Amino acid sequence: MMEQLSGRDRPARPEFEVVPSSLGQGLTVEGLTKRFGSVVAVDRLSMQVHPGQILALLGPNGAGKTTTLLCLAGLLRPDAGRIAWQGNALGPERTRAMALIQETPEVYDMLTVWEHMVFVARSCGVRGAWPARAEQLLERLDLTEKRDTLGEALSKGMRQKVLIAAAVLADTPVLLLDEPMIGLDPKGQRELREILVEIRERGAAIIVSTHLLEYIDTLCDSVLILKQGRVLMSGPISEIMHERANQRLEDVFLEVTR
Amino acid sequence: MIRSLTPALSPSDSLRALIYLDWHIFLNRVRTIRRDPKRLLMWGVFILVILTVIPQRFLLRSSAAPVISEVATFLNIVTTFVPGLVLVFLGLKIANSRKAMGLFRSAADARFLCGSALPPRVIVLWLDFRMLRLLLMQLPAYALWFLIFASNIRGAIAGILAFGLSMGLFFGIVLGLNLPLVRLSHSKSAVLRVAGASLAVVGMASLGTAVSRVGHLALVPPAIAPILLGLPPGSWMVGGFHANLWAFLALGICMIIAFALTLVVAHDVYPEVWESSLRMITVRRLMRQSGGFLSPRETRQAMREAGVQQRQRPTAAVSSQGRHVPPGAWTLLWKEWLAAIRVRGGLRWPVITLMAAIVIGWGAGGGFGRLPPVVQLNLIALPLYLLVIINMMMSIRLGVDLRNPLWWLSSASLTARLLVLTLARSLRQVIPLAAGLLAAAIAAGSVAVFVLGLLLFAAAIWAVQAMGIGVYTIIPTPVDLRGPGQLLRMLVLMALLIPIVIVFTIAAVLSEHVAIGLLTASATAILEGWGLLMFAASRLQGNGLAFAQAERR
Repeated sequence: MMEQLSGRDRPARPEFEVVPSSLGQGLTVEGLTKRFGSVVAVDRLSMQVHPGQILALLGPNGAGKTTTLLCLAGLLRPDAGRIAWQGNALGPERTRAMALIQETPEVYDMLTVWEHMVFVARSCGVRGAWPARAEQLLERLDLTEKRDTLGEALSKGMRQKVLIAAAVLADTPVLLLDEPMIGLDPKGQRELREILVEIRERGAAIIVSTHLLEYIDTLCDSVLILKQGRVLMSGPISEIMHERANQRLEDVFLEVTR
Repeated sequence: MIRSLTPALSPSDSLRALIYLDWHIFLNRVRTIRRDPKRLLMWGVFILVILTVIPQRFLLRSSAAPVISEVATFLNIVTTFVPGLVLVFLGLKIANSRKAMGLFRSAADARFLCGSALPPRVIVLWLDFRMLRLLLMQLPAYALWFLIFASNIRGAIAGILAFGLSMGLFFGIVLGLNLPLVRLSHSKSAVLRVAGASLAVVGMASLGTAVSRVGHLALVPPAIAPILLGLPPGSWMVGGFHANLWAFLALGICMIIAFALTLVVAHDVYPEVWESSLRMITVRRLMRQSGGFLSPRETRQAMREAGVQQRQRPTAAVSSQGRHVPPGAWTLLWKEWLAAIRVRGGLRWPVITLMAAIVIGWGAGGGFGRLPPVVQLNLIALPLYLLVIINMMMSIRLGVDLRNPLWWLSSASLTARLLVLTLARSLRQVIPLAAGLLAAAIAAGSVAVFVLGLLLFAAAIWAVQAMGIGVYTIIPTPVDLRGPGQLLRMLVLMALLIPIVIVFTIAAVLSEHVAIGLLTASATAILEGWGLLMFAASRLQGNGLAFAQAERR
């Protein structure tokens, strides 16, 4: 179900959540609020992302996308709100449930790509034949040749890939990506899209914050548009495109955030 | 497939993972240095200096015991100020508890540590331990001072160990209190501000008592003075410097209590650690991208993008009517004045600096004559050294001016414009300095203090500014905070100081009067500065944009 809210009638809290029919499944966020002094960066945001879904978090600059992701990842303390996974409220331990890959990806300068994999396996308690999985991941992400390269020598795109490989290896249930396509070449962007689809199929809930709208409709299942911390529109992309048959997602975004 | 949360690792597995991380970072650092030994250049210079100092120590040991005893007197005087300084530091720390000490060094820490199954308490303690280790890494820099001051090598080693342990325990207390104070500041902000301010006031009283004792001024009642000068934990630190076991024990117990408090709050402090580290993470990232060059505008933009809270800067100002603008190159003086009054806070900080200079000048002037000669010498040498170093470290950049077409429209000569620019930048320090020296001269009843002091300090400041511009036209990068470029530039600046030191020595020895040596050295500094300005002008003439572009690179 999709709803567009516009003008002064727009309520502070969205009437419709992404998939309201199965509340309690996957990642549930209710009334998330974050203030910086007098500025309300995120205003009573509610959403739900199911396992096996990708949600696109859209909005102009300063909309509150990054703040939302940082709150979810446990790196900012929300002023209000509830975050739950599979119906269980999450406190500080949510850092273990959510892997955040920030817009400026950073890895340890003095660890090689492979040592990052080893550390993630050890620190996340990955059991079983993880070395084979890690090798596969590196190959999949074109990182095999960079296996022994130090973090300080990796390009932004490569660092991005290392973080993605680490998140996949750790098998984190929720993956949060802030502007993941920026800094990647076209091949890298395609690889990332394919990997995200694979992760989705493995049952992870994914939130992608982005300004690049061209790949959203093919990659994501639902969309949430923010402006000044408030939800302007949310719903499955298929419904949005169905209701606005003559419009592209870009047009919808520009109209809603006008 | 629906995944559940990964259970937290056991403390032993967590420690193994963290040791793996630390050990491999260390190994790779060693390998990197082996591949690129230039990274050891700074350490090489340091070890070279140490090696040249050790033979001098043996010579001093046999022949110059009086010098050592005077130095010991000086150190004893310095330690009188430690209890006050420590209390002021702790007071300010408690009053500003919301601004925690950042423990993450990069966003990788947030991603790989917070996002792992390691228990938060283990991670926070490990981050604290890493910070403590980094702070103690500074210790070898102090080794040089111990070698210079101690009466023998064994004494130097014992001194380094006692000093290191004492400082380590104190930093441990500060680190241990860091996160508990931040958490407390969310609910008891006002209480902490009052408590911090009270502690700082007591510290100031202790500092005042120390000044009174050093200057033999009867400002504090004799009954209170020993109490104010023996306040912990500073007095324990002083005891630690003298290898007093009870002092170490007291500091150690405080540190254990502080870390126990950290453990209490550590299960839920990642947001605070992240917020307090964000500025440092952004600065480090920016430095890596730009090779150490950080322009204020780029820094502000990066901070804004990273979400670091910044104070609003004024975006409009009342335009000057331009009635009293000096002509020619002197217009630059007017431009620098406008820049000075339009920074955030306006003239507040310059006025505070001026007042502080007058107070310090008055205090120093009053007791100066009664101080031992070695203290007098240090009271002149240390501020002079600091002024020279600060001026050297201050980024000397002309890129903003050189890129501006208005700079090149001026009819005044380039040398004149550079001269006015250096004068304008020097004036910011010379004005409070002159006020302080005037106060000192009045208190001491000596005109020589003002005339000689002003000439010496002003010439030093201006000459270093001129040298900075001269060196800029050879290496057009700002003096950044790291890298071989900085070292090279510092070495060039140091080399330029050599003629001044030689002239001072010759003049002082020949005339058998330090004042004549200082006057001659000041004149040499001015001459050298003028020569360097002309050199800089000849390099920049017709080629300014190339320097501006080189500075950007």
